[in-house]
Amino acid sequence: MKSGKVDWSAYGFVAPAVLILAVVHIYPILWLIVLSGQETDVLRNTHEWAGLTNYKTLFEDPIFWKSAKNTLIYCLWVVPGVLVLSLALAFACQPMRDRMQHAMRAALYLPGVVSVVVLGMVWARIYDPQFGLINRALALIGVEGPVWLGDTTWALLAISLMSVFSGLGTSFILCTTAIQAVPKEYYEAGEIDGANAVRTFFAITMPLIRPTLLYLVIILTVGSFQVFAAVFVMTDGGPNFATSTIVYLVYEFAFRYFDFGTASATSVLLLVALVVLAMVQFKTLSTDVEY
Amino acid sequence: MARASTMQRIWMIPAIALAVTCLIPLVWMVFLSATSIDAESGSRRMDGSSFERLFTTLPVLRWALNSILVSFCVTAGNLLFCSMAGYAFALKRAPGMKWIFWFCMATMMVPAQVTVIPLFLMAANAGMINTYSALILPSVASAFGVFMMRQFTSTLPRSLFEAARIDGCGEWRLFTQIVLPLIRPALAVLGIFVFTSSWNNFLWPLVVCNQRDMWTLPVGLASLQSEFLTDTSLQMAGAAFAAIPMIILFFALQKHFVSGLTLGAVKG
Repeated sequence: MKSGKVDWSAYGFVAPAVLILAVVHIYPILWLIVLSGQETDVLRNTHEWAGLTNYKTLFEDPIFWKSAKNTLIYCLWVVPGVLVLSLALAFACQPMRDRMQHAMRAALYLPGVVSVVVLGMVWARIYDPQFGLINRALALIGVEGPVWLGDTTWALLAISLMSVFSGLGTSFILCTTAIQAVPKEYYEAGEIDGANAVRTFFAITMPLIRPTLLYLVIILTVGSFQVFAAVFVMTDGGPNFATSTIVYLVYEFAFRYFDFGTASATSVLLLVALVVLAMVQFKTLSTDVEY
Repeated sequence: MARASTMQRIWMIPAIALAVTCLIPLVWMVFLSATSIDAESGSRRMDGSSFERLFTTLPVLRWALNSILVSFCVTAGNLLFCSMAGYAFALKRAPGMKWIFWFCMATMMVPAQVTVIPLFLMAANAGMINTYSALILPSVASAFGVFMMRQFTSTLPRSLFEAARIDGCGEWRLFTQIVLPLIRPALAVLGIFVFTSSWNNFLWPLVVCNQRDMWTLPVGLASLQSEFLTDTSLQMAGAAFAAIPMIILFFALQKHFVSGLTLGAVKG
């Protein structure tokens, strides 16, 4: 094909995918915004214009603020937790033999291929106050463990902990790949200049693996803002809304109280938060690294 | 890297311990599913009856079939539509193609959890609640897949296609007989990725199907949590039944799982 000549079949090839993406992602967003400004009665299928009332109801609802706070706390546990642990693991694994590294990779990645529903069910058993693994282990050293999922102070942390321990695989693999891609000469130069291990890490490794870290921070943040299945399976948002999150709230509004207007308003706020967060993270963390 | 120093060896110990800790829940799940508490002695003993109870009292096989059907259709759709679009975006020239590509990429910013309400109302208005179409159709193409296929296809030499066109090869034949075989490695990676996420998908099937017979495995399992609260072995048998196919798939195709991650990520 000569350059410049138009290949009309291109449109045919992209049509199915573009159509699906438009119908499943773009159109619903537009409709979502409309819905958030309406009072919807699902049973009678009526929509009445309500202006900003849905948002007003939401802002006056203490459970909304609690859920937003919970989502943020969950995110602040999970994102740094996963990043720090997987970076540390990736460094510890560098000197290992290939076979061992593969085993580590498999062990860390395996919980990630299993459904969150399955993990939630198993971890709920592990957190069982009487027969759970954790409290039995604590009893061995003479400590009486908390009720975990039934305790307002521990429940959210317990769910976050589960997410960290089952979500290390992807970050570990990406960190390992990034660290191995740093050219050896840089380390040699650092060694000649007499840099110690800590200095080497912060002055050489960190800046060079920054693009990977940026990518991870974004996907982990977006992921943790959408936490739902774990809450649904493990605590149902309880006790006393201690683990209610934004997406869980959307589900409750829409499919327990059939209040689609308020549920849509909540979704709109979540979308705005996600887009703003992604933009801020991109701005603050991205630098051009060429090597 | 050079031989490990003593310091480095010491660091390996907590790392290995952490990796093992991550596996404990899965091992514990299998253990709990295969044992039950002996009424007399109060200790645990091997007992496969939980699986028997699982299969006789619950439609788990139906749920598994639903999961398999949905995941296969979603995977097939993604492989076809994403590779078609990826191929055109990588190698075909037409006005506006760049814009259309960025339009596709923008949809990656829209998480599934956000659109669940309008999508549900769309399905309800179309009378698709409790149907396979509702479970399958919204997921048959993904922006991630389009991006991945475009990245991979653009590494193929253009000259190949020019030669085929000169020989009078039609566009569709060119795609199915030349492009598809060449992008097989990328198809494998995308296929595994899509299959796993479809198999584990939870919110959408939960919302769009309220009939027990239409549930997928994760939705069915979640119902065990409240229905059979005290029957730990039964719950864990269900969890193991859903998890084990994925675990086997992972070990069989580990290489592809890993390369999928790096294909989706940025350089670095």
